[in-house]
Amino acid sequence: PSDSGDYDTTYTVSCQTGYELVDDVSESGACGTDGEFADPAPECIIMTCTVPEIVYGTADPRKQWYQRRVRAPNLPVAAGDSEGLAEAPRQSVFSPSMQSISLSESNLRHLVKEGRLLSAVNMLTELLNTAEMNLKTIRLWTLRFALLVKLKLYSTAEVEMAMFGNLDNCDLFYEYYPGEHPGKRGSIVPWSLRLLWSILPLHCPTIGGLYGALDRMYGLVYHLDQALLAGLPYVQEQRVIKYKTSLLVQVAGALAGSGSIQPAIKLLKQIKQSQPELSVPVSNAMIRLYYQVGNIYKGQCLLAEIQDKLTEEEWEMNAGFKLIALGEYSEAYQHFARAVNLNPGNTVASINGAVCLLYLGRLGDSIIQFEGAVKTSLHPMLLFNLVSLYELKTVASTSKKYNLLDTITSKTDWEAFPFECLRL
Amino acid sequence: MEANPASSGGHALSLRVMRLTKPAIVPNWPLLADKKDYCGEELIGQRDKDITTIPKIHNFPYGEVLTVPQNFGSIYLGETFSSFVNVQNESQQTVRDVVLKTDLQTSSQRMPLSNPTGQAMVSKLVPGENISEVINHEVKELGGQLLVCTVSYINTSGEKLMFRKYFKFQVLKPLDVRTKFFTTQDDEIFLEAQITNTTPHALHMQKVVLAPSPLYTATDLNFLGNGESIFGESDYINPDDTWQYLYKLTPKMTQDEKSNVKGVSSVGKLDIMWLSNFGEKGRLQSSQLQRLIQPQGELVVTVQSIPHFISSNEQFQVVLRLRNTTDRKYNLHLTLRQLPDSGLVWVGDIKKVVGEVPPCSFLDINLDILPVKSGVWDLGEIGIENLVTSKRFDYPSVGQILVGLT
Repeated sequence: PSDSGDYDTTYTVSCQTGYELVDDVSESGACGTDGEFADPAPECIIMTCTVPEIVYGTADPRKQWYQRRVRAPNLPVAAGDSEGLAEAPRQSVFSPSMQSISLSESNLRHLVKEGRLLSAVNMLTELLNTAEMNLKTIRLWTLRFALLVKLKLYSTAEVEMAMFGNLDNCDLFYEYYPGEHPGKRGSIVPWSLRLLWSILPLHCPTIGGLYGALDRMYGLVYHLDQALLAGLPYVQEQRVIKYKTSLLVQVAGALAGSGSIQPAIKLLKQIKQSQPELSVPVSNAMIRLYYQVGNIYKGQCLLAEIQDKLTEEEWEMNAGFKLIALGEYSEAYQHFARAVNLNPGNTVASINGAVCLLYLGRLGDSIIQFEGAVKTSLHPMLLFNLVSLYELKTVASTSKKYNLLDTITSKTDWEAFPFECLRL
Repeated sequence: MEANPASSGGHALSLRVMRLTKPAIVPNWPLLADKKDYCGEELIGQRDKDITTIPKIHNFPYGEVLTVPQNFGSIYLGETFSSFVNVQNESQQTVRDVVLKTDLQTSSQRMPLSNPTGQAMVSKLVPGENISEVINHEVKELGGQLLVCTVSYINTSGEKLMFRKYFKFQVLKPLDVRTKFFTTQDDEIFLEAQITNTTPHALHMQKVVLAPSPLYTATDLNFLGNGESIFGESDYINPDDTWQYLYKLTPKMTQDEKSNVKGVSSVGKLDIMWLSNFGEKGRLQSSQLQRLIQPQGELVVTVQSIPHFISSNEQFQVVLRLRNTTDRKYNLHLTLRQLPDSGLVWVGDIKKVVGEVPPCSFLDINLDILPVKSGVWDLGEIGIENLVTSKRFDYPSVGQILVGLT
């Protein structure tokens, strides 16, 4: 817990945010009588997320926790909170709304649907804690890993994935469960779990980083190719081809994210050739990568190639990127504005247009446009941009940041929000 | 790059700066979702709500969302330094005659970047209002540099107040350029330029051109016949990689002028233009590249004609060109010397008068040789005496020939 605990009529609350990256942000604010904050006075709710104890593996003994400042008055105060900061007792299931949610699969589904991914992870802890491996629990594990990776809880994922080895333990095959599907052979591991297993090293340098991930991914490619060579009935063949494509897209993403843009572009080109129905999104991705390395010329050539296949909105987005690469922010802004006209729901065009306004020196207009986008999406990346602009505008950006905090916590899916993006 | 984040030091106005490197696309790994999985539909719902997810290629992490620059980053020689400067009235009072002036201080000079005369930008600024500027400057000096922002204003009491903020940054070297000259026997000159990328990101070379000096014409040898670059599919130089560019230089002088040129000759300049992140431009010109010309000597002997291949015991002829590079008449006498153990034997007179060679002119002579052994052999020693000055020139090896078996 934090070490500050001063108490006056103006109390000092020290909140630390973050999961893996612990950014020390100390915050002092005046609360209460000076009217700076609306009634009721803010309370700091301590959320303790313990790394689950899993039967199947060793859990990371580090306890991860974070505290946040919230202004929801109807949240009950955690034990020992109002007189400074104390540690909440370890709880293995924690629901941010402080209602007890009973352990059930329909509630789990509900949590995922509401975007309460951290609660879902915690509930999965309970569900998987005493369960043994079977056809059902492997699917729960798949969900768990998907959520852990999304929440960037990589060390937990790494520890737990380790017990799955190379996804060829004997209890991962149908033959191990003769009662369930008699006579059926093959692996019970869902394809999504394989994808997650293969990309995980990229996020965990201790298990190999980029090369570890490429090893695993190309190992999977090999097996898929073997299956295709062996010959399969049409439906299954299509499914294998679909798997291979999703895998290669992941490989291209891993390469691009690690600075190997050229190989990523080459791979995307191959994907485009073998899956012509993906030619538009893949070409768009290639164009952006070309711009990233400064090869505007090739980006333009590729755009000219796919021009006829683009919708008007897609073309305007592409034109916007091209003009940003050429440094023509005014024209780029026009294109993004037209994209928003064609599709008012295109938040990305709105964001990109707002970025152009900044480069044109129109800080006020840029902020207004970002604030408009915030009404439709509270994506951390968007908020990150907006907070940067608040800080550029004024030294007194804190109240604006708290407004954002309010907006975030008024939604249901804030529990996994990376609040550090607000730089409070 | 921020000003002191605490209150503006008692001033009514605050100054904040953001370096405008190009916007970036930040990778964002989306939620992996498939409708066949447990809670698949719900996961797909969450994934699609994420604005950074790309339709159809869902697990690609580079979406379309741009982000504004987050930190100063590095700046390299030849790039353009671009910054957003914002002055905000943080107080509750209106101020008047606000002046914002920016200068750049390098190790050698101080130059204004904006508002050099220090004019007032606005006559009044109400609370909450701001003035801002985007300044651009092409960086032409290496090393530490200082951005100096000066703000002055008149407050409600009529006082004229001023404050200054300094932002230090370092200009680094983006490229390492090394040049090498190669001269062939036929007096063709080649220039090899090795360009190393010393930045941590990829650089797309837009143009690497040799702008020759008036003494030469340059041929760019970095393209194939069909216009394709010799670097093929490679789009960019990776960090720490080196690319070699080749140019052929042809002196614009006649043979006579050539023979008089000695010392250092200016060949030209390399003009390099590159693009990096999202089209960030950079441009550098090398200094004049110099080439050291070896003096040719008064009498230049070259082999004009020699068979490519000869068999043993097959007599052949060699044509030697004796060039007089001076402005005086030469009268030459030739002595041919046999090399010990050589496979070649001179045929005919080994001491003879060659004759007159006028100034700045040449004379060709035929020499006969009989090869007796196979192998690669030097033609043999040639001694030439100028009967006019009694000066002797010795040419130990003017050429070689491969002699095959009979």
